[in-house]
Amino acid sequence: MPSTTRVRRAVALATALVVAATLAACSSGGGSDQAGCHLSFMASADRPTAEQDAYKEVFADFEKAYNCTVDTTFEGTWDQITQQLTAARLASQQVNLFVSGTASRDLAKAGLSMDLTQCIAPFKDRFLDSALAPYTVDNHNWAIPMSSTDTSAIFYNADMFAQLGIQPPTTFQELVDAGDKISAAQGIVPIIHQGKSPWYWPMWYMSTFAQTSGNKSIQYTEDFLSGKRQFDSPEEVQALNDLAKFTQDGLLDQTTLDTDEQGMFASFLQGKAAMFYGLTPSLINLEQGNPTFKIGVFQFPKVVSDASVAPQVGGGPENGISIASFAPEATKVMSCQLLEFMSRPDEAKKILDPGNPLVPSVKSVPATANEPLAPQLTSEFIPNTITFLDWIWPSQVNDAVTSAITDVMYNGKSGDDAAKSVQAALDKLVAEEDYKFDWWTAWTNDDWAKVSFPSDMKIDVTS
Amino acid sequence: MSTYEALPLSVDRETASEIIHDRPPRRRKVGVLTPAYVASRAVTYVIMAVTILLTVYPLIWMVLGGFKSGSEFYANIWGLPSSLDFSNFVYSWNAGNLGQKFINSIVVTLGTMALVLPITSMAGYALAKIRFRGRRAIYVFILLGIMVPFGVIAIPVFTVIVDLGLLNTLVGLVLVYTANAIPLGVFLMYSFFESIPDELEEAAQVDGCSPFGAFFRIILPLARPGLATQVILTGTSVWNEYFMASLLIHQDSLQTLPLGLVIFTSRFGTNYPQLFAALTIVTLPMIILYLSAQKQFISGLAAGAVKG
Amino acid sequence: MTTQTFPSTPQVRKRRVMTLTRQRTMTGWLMALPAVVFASVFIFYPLARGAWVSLFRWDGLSADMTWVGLRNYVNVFNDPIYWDAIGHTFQYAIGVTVIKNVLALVLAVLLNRKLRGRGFFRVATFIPVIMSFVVVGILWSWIFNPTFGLLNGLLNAVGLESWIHGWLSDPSIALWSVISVDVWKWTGFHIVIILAGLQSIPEELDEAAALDGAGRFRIFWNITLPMLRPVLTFSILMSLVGAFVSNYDLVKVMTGGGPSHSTEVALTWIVNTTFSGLNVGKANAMSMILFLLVIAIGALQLRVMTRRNDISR
Repeated sequence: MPSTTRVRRAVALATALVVAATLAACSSGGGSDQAGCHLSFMASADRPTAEQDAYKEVFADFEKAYNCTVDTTFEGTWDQITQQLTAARLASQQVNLFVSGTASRDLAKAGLSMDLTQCIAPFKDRFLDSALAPYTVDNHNWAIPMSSTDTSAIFYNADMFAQLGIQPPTTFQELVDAGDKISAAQGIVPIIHQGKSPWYWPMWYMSTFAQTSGNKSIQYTEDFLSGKRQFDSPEEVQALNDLAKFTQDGLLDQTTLDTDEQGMFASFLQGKAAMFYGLTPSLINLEQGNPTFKIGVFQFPKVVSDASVAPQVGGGPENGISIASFAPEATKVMSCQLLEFMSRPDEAKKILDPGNPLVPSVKSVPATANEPLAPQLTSEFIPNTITFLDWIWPSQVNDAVTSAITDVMYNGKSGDDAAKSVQAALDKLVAEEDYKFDWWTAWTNDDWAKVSFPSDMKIDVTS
Repeated sequence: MSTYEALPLSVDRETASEIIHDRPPRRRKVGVLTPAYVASRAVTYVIMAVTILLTVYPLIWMVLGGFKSGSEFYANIWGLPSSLDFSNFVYSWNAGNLGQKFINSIVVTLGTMALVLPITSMAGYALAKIRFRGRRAIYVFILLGIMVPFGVIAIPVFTVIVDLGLLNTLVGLVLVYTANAIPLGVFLMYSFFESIPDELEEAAQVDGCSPFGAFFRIILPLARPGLATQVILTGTSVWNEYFMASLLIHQDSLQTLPLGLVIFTSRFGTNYPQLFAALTIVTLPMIILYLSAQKQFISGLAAGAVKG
Repeated sequence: MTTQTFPSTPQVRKRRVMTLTRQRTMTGWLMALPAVVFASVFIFYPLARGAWVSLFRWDGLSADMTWVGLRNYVNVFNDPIYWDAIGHTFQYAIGVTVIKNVLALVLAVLLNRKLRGRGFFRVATFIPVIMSFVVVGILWSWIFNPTFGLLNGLLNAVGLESWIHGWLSDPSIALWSVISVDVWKWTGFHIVIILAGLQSIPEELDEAAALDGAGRFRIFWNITLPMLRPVLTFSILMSLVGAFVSNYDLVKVMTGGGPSHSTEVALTWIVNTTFSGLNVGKANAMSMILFLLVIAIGALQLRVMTRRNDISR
């Protein structure tokens, strides 16, 4: 086995060298030459080297099967993808596939990515529905999910809980009681959160709002964005007020505001906090720190008394792969073929494995065996996971929600005032930039034609 | 007479040599060890020690952090590593392909220097010493450039580079960095040349030198302190620049070091020991370079300040 | 000044002077040309282009831009975060300039005598100057960390628990924490400059004053400081240069503009508007306003930078 991987590596390396040489020789033009099939893949560099190598390996396999080279560019961080893509487009650099992730909706709206509905129809059932959902807008697919499907959960120090005789709480009151016990016994703050990074605040709101809205948070969010609903409606305000209780009841303190992920890990691992509310990839990274205690997990507690309401949380697969609409026409069908190829069981496993997936977005790929909590997360948490709301909000609204959350939790602002500021942010966006949530309804046939595959396209689908 | 002329020119050379050899300055002698004198010295030494600790410790901490293992880092954030394990350094060097990036960074930094130093010296000299129509306008024009926020003209700059066909080339990066360094550089060189007496240049011209000749043969050698200041300021900012590079370079083999560091961060969980090892690898050469040439840098900067 | 040396001599000489003048103009322009070209192509042309884009609505991604005239400017005027950010930008620039120079002056005066280890001190305090803001930002984020930070640990150890703060999380001090890191990075640079200035002051002046019975403070105030003025001017200019427009890296790494925009500076907000808000037109309008504001402040600075030969001659 090792020798074949080595050979593969060598082939990949040789390919890369040839590609590099070709690129150096000609001024990176459109690459529209029909003779040699050549595709280009772009993704952010802030991913494990093993994952980057896996992509290269899969592309080498693809070249063998389809006689089509794929070169890779890994650069920048995950939140720079729009910037990188803009740069590539302005420079008429060839990009065929790219990891769009959270930006997929913005990019679709701007007409930069292909409508994949037709492309993936023959192999759509390879993906988990819940993983495909975040990349689906009005029944059109804009990316295929190729990573673990993340979900949010409260992780706790199980040894400390056992020692203090605390059961994992299911309601907010139980959580407060547990917190009181922990503070009294250990003199520490019960929960730490990576509040320094604004990205991680909306997950709190998503969780309370899912409950106060009676599990209609996605629907309400879409209504709000399309102007059919005000953000200062009782459900939204209640969701913010419920968050304020977390700080009022001493579950979180000011520390959280300048804690990043590493600070959060360090606090948790050193027993300076008993719990943290995080995304599942954090768990995998946490274990690099070799915890000296057992880690447990429980769902976001119930803040409403209605028994029919489920405690839903936000989630979604971080990596979605899209096809650029500005790539040469001749390469598009082959790009779709590559998507199909990547999602074949053997190839998908290569790509997903380095990320130790808890819930692989491709059904055929087994979950990681390294994580004892994986079965529990898959069976109990995934069914209660809904698309991250911040993938639906435009960034200005997301920003306003983030401020609203920290304002009610830390600056004593009322939920009503905070909610009004979010509504104001959307109103401003509509007034200043003609923001339109359901942009697709305004698209002409021409617009659609630019992002659609030829109707007679054919790709191989093998399993 | 303005205060600008208050500085006796004769002091300069002496000062420079004093600074180079770090001779203690000549101050009035205090013969008696009065308690007040002792106390004041003690306080000074304490302040010095604290300041040195403050400036050097974070650096040492970064280097030490590179030797820790993942779990050790969290358990023992500020302490010494348990062993001198170089594996993070080796890993970072290989995983980040830092060798290639080193070469790129060196090429870009030296390339920028090779353009910035002559261009700013010539401009600074012409504006300060050659009286010609429009020189004040030119000077103001160039100085205005200091006030342009470079980050925010990034997209138009990017388009210019694309139009010139220089995207994905180190040359493009060098040109952009050069432009970025020019306004301050011209200001520095202008101030510096201004302080050189006109007589020198006039003497040179009498000796039959053209203005160009006078510039290269007589004036430029005198401008070394100003050049040293620029080397420090421009050199470090180019070596460390990320934002423009991330826009202009989209090819692994052309990445500079700051771009290469991204691989050590991750959306979920940065491996700090590996990141610190990489940061150390990137920072240390600059520090070694500085330490080995610190006398030139510091004396250049000092002389530049006194003259400028 | 020597410009006025046109001699009132016969026509022949005058003509020679004329050609000399022309030759000078040629030489001057030629030597300044590369700098002018670079500044035009990579600074002012892009700036003009940015001004043009600021009249459009554009997401930076789509192919087409929509003409909106001055609407982006109206929108910027109605953007409270931008004006807060502008306020922070000025606070940052002025705070950094004042603190760096005062601190450096104090330290330089302290050091300006026979002291063991002075050379080492100067070398050591200069080290942060050559480190990148990204590295500096990461290191200081850990020092300021509320739970593990060295700073709070130290305060705890010396019994100053009441001084413990969330250095980067408390909106009222977060910006000052970032400013202090900028100061930390650059003070060594200014110490070198000011120390050189101090050392160039002839000792005889102090001695004479001391003989006249002047106290140390009076000597400092009446002799040292005025003698130091050119060097201080230079030092202040150096810290003011770019103080308004070069804070992006540090703020980005240390706080990202948070919490609740309390450390948002103009540049971070502009970049955010460009790449997250996808509102390139508005971001460019913000850049233009920032540029004009900085110019207004910078006019003074520009005057100092260009006036040297005007004032005395």
